[in-house]
Amino acid sequence: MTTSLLNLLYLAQSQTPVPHDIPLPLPADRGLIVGVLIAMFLVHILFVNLMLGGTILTAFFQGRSILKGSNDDDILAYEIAKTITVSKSMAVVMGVAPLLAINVIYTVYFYSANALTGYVWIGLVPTAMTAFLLLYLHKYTWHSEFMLKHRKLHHSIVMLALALLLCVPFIFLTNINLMLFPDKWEQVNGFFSAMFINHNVIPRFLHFFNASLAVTGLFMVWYVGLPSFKVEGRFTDSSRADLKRRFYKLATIFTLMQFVIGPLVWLTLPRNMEMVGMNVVLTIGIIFAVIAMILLAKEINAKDEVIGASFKPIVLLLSVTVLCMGTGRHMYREQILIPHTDDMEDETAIYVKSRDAALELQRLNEAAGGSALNGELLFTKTCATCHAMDKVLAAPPLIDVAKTYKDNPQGIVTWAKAPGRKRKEFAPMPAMGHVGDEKLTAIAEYILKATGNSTEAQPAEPTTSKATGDATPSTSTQPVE
Amino acid sequence: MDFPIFHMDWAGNRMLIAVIAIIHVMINHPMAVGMMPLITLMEYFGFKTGDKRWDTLAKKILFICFIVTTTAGALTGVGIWLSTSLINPYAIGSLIRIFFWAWFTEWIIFVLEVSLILAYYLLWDKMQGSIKSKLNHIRIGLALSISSWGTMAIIVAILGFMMDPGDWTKTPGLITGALNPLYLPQLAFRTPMAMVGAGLFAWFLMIFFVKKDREFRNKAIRFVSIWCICWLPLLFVGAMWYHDRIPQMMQGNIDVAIATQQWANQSNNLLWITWVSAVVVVVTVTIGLLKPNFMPRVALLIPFILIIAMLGQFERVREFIRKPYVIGDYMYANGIRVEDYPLLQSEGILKYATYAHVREITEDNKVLAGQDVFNIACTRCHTTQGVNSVVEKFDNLYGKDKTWDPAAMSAYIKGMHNARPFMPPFPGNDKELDALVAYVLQIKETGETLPGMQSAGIVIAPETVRRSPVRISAGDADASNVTP
Ligand code: HEC
Repeated sequence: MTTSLLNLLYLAQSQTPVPHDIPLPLPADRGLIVGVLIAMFLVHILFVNLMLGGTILTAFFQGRSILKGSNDDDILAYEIAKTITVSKSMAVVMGVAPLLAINVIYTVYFYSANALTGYVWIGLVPTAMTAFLLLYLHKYTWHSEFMLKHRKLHHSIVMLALALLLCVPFIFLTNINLMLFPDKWEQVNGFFSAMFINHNVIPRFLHFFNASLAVTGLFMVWYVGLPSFKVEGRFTDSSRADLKRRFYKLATIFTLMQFVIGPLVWLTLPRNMEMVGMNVVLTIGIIFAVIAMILLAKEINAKDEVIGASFKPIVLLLSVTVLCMGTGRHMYREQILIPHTDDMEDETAIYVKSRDAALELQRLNEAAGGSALNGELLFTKTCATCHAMDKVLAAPPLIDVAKTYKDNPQGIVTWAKAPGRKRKEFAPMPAMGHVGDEKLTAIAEYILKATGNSTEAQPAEPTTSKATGDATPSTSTQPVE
Repeated sequence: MDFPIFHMDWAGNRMLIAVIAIIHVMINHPMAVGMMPLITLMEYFGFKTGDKRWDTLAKKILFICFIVTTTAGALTGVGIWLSTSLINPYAIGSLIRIFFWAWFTEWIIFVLEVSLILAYYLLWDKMQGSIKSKLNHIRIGLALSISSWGTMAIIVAILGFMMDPGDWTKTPGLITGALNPLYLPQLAFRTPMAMVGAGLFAWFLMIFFVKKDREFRNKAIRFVSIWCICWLPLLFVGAMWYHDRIPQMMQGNIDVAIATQQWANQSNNLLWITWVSAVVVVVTVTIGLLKPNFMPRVALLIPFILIIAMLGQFERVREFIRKPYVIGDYMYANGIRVEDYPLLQSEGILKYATYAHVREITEDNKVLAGQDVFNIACTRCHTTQGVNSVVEKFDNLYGKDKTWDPAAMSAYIKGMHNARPFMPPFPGNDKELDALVAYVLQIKETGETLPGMQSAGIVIAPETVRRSPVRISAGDADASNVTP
């Protein structure tokens, strides 16, 4: 009855390709972890944007200065390069919290996607590490004599770092996308097939790429406005206002492009039901972005003396946009996973019940008959790994062993607790003291009986006559090497 | 058993974690935890004595540590996490649920640490202006030292927990988990280890940084010698405490006789390396203190290499004594929880596996089923033909050129946890054992390998067992009559 009950408990087998959940409670209220996820992910992405955008701009300005010999471009390139050191370090630490959160609330989805793209996923570590080292190399050799002579070589360092950095978002996006579509998991074999389970990864990459340049553009507007950022006497062709305007333009162009790429991302999102909530939140975000665009246009056309006056409102408005996008994204994630999560939770619950039933059964069995000393059973459990009755396995057969110990079970016990090495052809036997005297004796008696080396037909009763046992003559017949 | 199985069939999965983790520890301990206080002290000393050369040397050493810790250090830290979640998702998933808040706190300290090291290095020249700003700069160094140690102190709690959860299996919770019996001894060992390691690494760097100025070189060597001498006694106390705790703890985990026997080899290695390193370090440090002039360049290198070896050995021991568990007493290294065993051993692992080719084993699909069983039960530690290959292991047992006896192999696997206590018990039932043996025999014959699911993809277990689309709850009495 018990087996069929266990069978029945597990009816829901294979309703979903999603693994069972980890049977431990969440460490905190789910809403709280979701909050951590959304908020810290945005902070992380901000620094990632600055890192990538900064690298692109450095490469761009340095390249242009090499081509055209412009002093201003070279100064700008170096100034931006200096900020990457900070943004890349912050990008890494700020990524830890959202990673932690996603591990906790999307455990089964996230780990599965990771495993399915395993090699490339772990390739993140050397890729990012190499890119970072190259960025340091680029920055700290800027003024070295050698690099001043070989500027193209110097420029190729940052280009290489950039190429590596551009791989990273593909890896992340592919994973984050893959985890949401368990029905596609079976089609995946390796990273590249995972990238194309739907058409969402590339638009999202472009969305992120634009965002990086837009964010870095705004950041630079602030950075060149700092009193510590010297303009006079350093830049030949541009004033502070010129620089600001230039970076405002950059931010504007790439934000404008988001109005095309954004809808493309939205259109390529697979959906399983009407996603009204998400659409509302996204629309709010777009409205804020439109207002920000108007202010940006005003700033670009503002006079030198007042340029930068609307910087704070613009940042604020766009922050709301970004928050809306992040929230909408989360709503999508939750909704698309509902059917799988429902099935997965049911199956996990059923599994846990089956498991508990089996645990209980084992407990009952142990309570009922666990104390009997069955030499044969114990032998199978403990010794049959290496010893058989009449065959050579990893150790000598019992018919051989038993001859030495005719009528002397205690001899076998003594040996088993501290085995020597009699036969060179076998590996040394591990000590079996942990089994305990009682059980060892039962085993020894079984061995002697089964091989016909026991004259007494007594049932296996643990011999406690230590006095005779210790003075066993068998020790003399055991030449230990 | 549940997650898609990432498997590196040539190098073995442990290799990946081991490489990343060892690089991380070797960077983190000497270059961050130990070096930050040493650099701060050096800077302070230069400030006190008014000797600019200390300041220059401190900044140069910091530069190296800054570059390495913010690239390789930080990313291998994340890498440990990513690699363990590929190889043992069930283990890291459980640990994260237990230790979420510990990790979260560690993250906050980590943010602090990174911000501080950025400030400490990048503002070094800017904060030279006045006495006040120099003192503030030294304070940043102090805060940085404390936070570097703080992140380590938290992570060690988690590492200790994985070795021996202490009372946690009885009363689960963050605090009982963190206060596991190995926590303090490990911390007491790692802390001075990091400090001495930093001293020796600083010596090593001085080979390059103080070349010409003989007088200052001697001063600097003496300075670092004193630093090391201060920490060495603590290192011995820590090492002894830790060394003393391990066998005790293992008695709780595995049965005494075998445990001590297995431990003996490792223990001797560790003791041996510790003593040799200790003697060499003490001798060089003493020479450094008394006769810095005599110190040849290579002599600065040897103790550093020794301490790195000791650190590596220490990590190995830590890994070793954890087996057969990945989380002591709770989860075996194959990712299967102790509490799952009764069910799986009677009903079979394939029945509950998410991804498998086969659910019901027949004569025809036996080998394929065996492959699934191997994948689930053995691949966390064994490969087919690569590192720690299962074929090679059986070759050693039964002879490479002989035909192996399937019955003997079954018997071996059934009792493998008794014969070799670092292996978990076989989690499946008898049919699966047969299938596994058939599979091993086949791969011995054909030499075939087993690609992981990261390249081969997954096969969702066939629906044959899905008896009814209707879900029946456990308490449904009528259900027992409709068994097919
Ligand atoms: C916790 C990791 C782990 C798991 C899981 C594991 N093994 Fe092992 N196994 C080891 C280690 C470690 C060794 C010893 C390697 C050596 O020779 O140093 C070993 C050795 C062996 C040996 C040789 C033993 C001897 O006495 O020389 C065989 C055979 C073997 N394993 C089979 C298996 C099979 C079959 C499975 C799956 C059911 C399995 N192992 C699961 C870690 C593991």
